[in-house]
Amino acid sequence: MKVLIVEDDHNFAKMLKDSFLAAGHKVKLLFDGKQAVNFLNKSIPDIIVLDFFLPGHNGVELVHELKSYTDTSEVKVYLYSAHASQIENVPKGIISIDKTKVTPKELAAYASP
Amino acid sequence: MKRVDELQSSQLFDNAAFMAAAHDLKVPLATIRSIVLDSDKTAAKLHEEYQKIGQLSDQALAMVSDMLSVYKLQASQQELPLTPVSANNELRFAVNQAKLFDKLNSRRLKVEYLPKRELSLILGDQYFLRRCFSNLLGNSLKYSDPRTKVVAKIFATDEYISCQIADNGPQIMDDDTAALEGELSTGSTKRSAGNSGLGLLLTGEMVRLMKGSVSVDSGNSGNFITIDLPRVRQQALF
Repeated sequence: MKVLIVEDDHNFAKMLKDSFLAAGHKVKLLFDGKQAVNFLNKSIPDIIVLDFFLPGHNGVELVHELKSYTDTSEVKVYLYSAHASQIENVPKGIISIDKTKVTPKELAAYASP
Repeated sequence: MKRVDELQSSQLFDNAAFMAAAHDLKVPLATIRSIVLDSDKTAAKLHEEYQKIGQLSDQALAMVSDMLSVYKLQASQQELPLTPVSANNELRFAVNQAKLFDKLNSRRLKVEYLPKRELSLILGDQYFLRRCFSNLLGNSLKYSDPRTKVVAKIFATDEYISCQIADNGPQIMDDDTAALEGELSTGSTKRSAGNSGLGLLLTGEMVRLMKGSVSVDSGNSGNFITIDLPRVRQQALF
């Protein structure tokens, strides 16, 4: 599956990428919201994993942006943040996951069919 | 003083700095946890991962120390004792720390010290000055385009020693400028630069406790953060 990861913390980004690659997925890694919006204009992935605090757009804004495109009903979106339990206005259908409780490897396993 | 359990929970959680601290400390700790639990157990990889854990722990500990130091002074309303400190030396220390923490990224760093013939002494606090430089260098290296340079420069006027960190990264958001100037935005989801701005808030506070000032100039030609600190002239030392 095609996975888009949007994570500005480079340590965490690398761990996420490695975990999803090891789980057999194709991965696109981006570091800020603006890059993600530009990418989504050209290609819609199967899975999106994104942090909440991002340069450019925060995670929830990105998801709202995604909803404005056609053909996104099949995209699974995981909001993966250390702030997961405090985030408000998370759109319906987005799975909010606490970074302090779920490792990248566990997330990759959970997100894989 | 009220005990923590006597305080309304809303009093604690309305405090933007508290929330910011909680987030900024959780991130390195979550990373450490993930490294430990997900690690590849081969010897070579473990060594690299233990180094990373050490660096992340240092980062989190430094943040906590900064918060406690600033809070202690503000709560006691005492003046920070100021002594002559060499800006050149403390910048050198921060640069070396940056190189240890992030060897690859720190190759982008270009540094211009004040010439030796000029005294780079400021009236300040060695720990605070070091932390200010570390915070600003760290932010610039982390958030600016990896293909561009980060320039740290010390220069002097009659009254001040100034240190400027310049990069070609994305424009510094209003939230970060406000944090340097002493305002942490409250209740907003529009955090800038991928973090809560706590490091920049603390930097701004430390500079003000040293009777200095911070200015931010951010636009199409790049970002320039300048710290101005009172200069110690040579005759004043004797």
